[in-house]
Amino acid sequence: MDSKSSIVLEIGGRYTKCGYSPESSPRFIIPTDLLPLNISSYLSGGASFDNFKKEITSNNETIITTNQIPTQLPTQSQLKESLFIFFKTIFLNYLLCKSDERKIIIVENIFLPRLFRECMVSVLFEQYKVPLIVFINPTASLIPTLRTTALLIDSGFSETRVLPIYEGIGILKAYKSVSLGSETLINQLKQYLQSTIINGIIINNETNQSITDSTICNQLLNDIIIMNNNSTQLLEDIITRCCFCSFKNNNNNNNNNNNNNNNNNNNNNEIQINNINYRISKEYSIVIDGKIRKGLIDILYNDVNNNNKEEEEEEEETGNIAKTILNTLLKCEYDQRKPLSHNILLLGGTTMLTGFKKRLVLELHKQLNKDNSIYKKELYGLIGHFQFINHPFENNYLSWLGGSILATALEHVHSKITLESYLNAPSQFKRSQLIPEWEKLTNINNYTQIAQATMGTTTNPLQFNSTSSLFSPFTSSSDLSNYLNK
Amino acid sequence: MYSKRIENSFQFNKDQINNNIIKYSCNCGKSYHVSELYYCSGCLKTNCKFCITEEIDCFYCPNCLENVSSVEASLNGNRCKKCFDCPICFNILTYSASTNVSTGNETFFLNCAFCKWNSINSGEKEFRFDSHSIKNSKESTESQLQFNKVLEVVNKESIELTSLKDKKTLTRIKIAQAMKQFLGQQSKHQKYNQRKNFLKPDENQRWIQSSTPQPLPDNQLIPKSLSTTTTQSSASSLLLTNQMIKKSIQSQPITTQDIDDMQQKRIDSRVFKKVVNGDNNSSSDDNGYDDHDDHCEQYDDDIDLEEINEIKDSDEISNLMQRYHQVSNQCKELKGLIPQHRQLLTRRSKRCKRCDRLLVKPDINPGKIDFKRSHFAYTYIPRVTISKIQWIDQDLFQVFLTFTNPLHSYIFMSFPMEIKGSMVSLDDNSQLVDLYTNETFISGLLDEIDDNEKEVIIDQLKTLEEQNKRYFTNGGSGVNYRNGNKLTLGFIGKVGVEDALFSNNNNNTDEVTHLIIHLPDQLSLNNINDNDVDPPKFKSKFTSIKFTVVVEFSLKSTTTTNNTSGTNTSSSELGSSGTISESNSSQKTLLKILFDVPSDKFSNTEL
Repeated sequence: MDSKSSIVLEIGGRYTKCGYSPESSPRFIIPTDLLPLNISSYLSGGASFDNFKKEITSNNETIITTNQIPTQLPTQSQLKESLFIFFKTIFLNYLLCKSDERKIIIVENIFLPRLFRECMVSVLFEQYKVPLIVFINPTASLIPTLRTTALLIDSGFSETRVLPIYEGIGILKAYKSVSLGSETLINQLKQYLQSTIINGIIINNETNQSITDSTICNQLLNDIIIMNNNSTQLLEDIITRCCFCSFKNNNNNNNNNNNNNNNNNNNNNEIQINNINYRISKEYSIVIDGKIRKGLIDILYNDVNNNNKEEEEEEEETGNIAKTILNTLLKCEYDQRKPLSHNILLLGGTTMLTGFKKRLVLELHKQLNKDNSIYKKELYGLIGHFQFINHPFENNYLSWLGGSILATALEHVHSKITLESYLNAPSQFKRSQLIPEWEKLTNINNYTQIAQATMGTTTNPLQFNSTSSLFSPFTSSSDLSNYLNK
Repeated sequence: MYSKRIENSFQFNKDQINNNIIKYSCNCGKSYHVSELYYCSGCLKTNCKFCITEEIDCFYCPNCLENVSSVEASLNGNRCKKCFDCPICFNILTYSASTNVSTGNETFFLNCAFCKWNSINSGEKEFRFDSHSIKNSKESTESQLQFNKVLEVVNKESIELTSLKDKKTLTRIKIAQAMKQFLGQQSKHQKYNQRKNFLKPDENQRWIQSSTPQPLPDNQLIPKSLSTTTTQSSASSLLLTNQMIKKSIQSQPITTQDIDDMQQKRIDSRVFKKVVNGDNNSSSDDNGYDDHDDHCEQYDDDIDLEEINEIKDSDEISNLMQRYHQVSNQCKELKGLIPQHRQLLTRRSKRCKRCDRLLVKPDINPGKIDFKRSHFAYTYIPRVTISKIQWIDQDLFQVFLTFTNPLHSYIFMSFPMEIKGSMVSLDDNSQLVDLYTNETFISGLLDEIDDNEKEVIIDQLKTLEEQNKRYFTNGGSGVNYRNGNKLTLGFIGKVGVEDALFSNNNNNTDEVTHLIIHLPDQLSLNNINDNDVDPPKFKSKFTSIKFTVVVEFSLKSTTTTNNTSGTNTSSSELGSSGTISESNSSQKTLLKILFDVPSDKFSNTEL
């Protein structure tokens, strides 16, 4: 091991995890602050920019809300400036180290925009003289759990990504993402607070009396939620502290008596969820309704019960995490489906909401039980087979942890660039070509291209090759030997 | 290069309204408030935050102000050994002692003076803050233990992988091992065992061993004898070779029936059996799944609704900041929050990116606040303020700029008529049309002239001043446009930028731009100083008037005694003959000052 431990970075849409390599948790989780740019969705998704103007129709009035994201892509120089400042704070204010003597391991999502990666590499090499940059893809998050097969469900700020990994190889054709994440929840909560300004939603802290004057209510909510620059942070905090995933029962298709009893019990439970006070300032608190506390998460599993065609189309737009997951499983080979559903690995901060796992399984079952759906036809056998990988780590830094472990075996990671090779490259174009990437593989049409892409390396580019031996078939967790003997 | 206005970034200059009016351009084209710039005395240019490199000089704790060596800092994870942060409000915790009256024993605990948190009755367990027990508790957490194991495995694998340098052998061994797994079932691979030990059987992980379709069909082609081979036999012998297949076919011919069987088995194996909790009670019921299972299944993030209902105030749940303060154990309850050591801060020296000269060097001693070297721009370059700005006609304005010399000695400055680069900035909507074209001077804080040559030059400049009285005015009736180390000059500007200024210069830094001066004829320049009681009001075209002034300054005068005749010529001639070629430009500092004056700051804007 080197005397100077390397830096591991995971730049997320909202929070960046940073720390040193052989440590069991990141040193800091800090907001991804690329001011003056606000490109969190661009960062995590590389999502197209058409979606950013959302039209919300309410009371026959069309309100166009522009989601803070710029309608234009950032230019390279803008990005570089923002990144320069951002890395400066990471190096000098948080990690307190000299940038030119630390290797950097970057854990990134597969579809990180090329522009961003190029800018990042250019800033790190040209400005900070980092000796080595290693790119690590999200399959690394399996390493801390010592598995080779898993269905990664990464639910972050602006989107949820589902990537199946079978025996250490990412199945890219089944990769699916849906723009649902904590940002969706935040927007939903914002809408709720804006639309339902009911008397009594705000209470005075001292007297514990609700404020009945609706103008004051309006004023306060406006000041705090809509006008405030930190409104996202505030709403996020409300969600983390007050909301949880309720287990709603799917009572629409089974007529089982027991089932009904259960439902009744459950309903009784559900009614009992109390309102909670959230202190927004010294004087005032917001009352968060019990319904919202439990129902906010529903938007992630937006499901239209009516067989209305229009609404179904709408549903396609808004998405549903459970459907995305099932679509992914549909794309996988038949024999891979069961191992994958037995090994679900949740990543990202949104999955840390209380009760997320249970709700997810319920929703998956609900989809599978739907009559006439493709899921029932193809995947019905998976019911009861959804199982999460248990691990003692927290979901939101698991992929960081993968990078942290891999940093000890850097000689086997192939996707890396050294400062020398970067600076010696004759042109800017050649330099950017040095950056290893996943996206190249998605466009490969013929085998010559594959051969070219992997030339010089004996490894499968989709395999996380660093530990190819560790996770090669012969040591896989799903050992077949037990059953062959029978 | 066009300059661009950049928002103020520091808290102290961010919020005040007037702080965005005047910006100084850095050499890289971005312009900042003067307090955000550095001045490199090596290359005589300004440096912005993008044009400096920083390096850490020393670490210190912001609370106890103790200097920490870099080795010690990295040993403790960049945290202070002694000081703790409050887990609730992040204030500094103080050590307190309480004496048990009956026994007389003294117990020490941590106490937050702000939110009254203390380490005794905070959690279920008393928080022990001696370094030994903190280290122990950190190392004994479940996540740390698993992490260590994983690290061990990965290291072992990595070493093994390194030792097998030959890629061909590596591939061969891999294939052989893979075959062995399929064929020689009894021969558990050593590595499998090793990993099995790490992953203790967990009743929650029901399918850890059974994730593949089962039972897998028998393949008649697989030599039965192989399954009994010992682990010691070389891996290659286990491979399905042609001879092996031939041998087995000869001894045991495969019929079509066998093949059909095989296929049927393969299909059967894909039908997943219904799952009931506790794999032992396998039920024959084929109804598939019913809802009960859901409620029996337990997940580690299960919630108890009643527990949730007991919490009436969200302040009883930790917020994200508190959770991220202890990343490894992001506890949802306030009880689980524990104090963390205080994060260290650094003192950093800053260097110029162009010439690597030190710009800022702080004192190593954290208790001292002065700098060993501080080349901040505001102590080196003339500071500009607008003393007055007013309309004198429609779209014509007069601006009175007060230059302050922060240095001890005289500085000489001029307003160049042509420079390399551009005279205007990106979003300028106005430009100055009437500038003083000669050199002028500002006396330093110490109002002394130390050598004769300078005295001569200053006398010359003073006589020139007399000839161009209209520039030297402070806008009022008084004549004291010089006041100590201040100098007030009046210029005339025009709304609207000559197109030529933008189009000629395609961002090419090497091109020389000329300032184009087109003074409106109707203006009688000598009588601008109208002392009317009620000056006429004018409407402004723009909500804010933006223009750029280019200033050159140096400590030595460029007006030498020889060239007096040249400077006496009319201003237009001097503009074209150029001051650049004659002057020793390396001595000069070129400053672009960008103005962005809201129209309501004009003294006579009609609103």
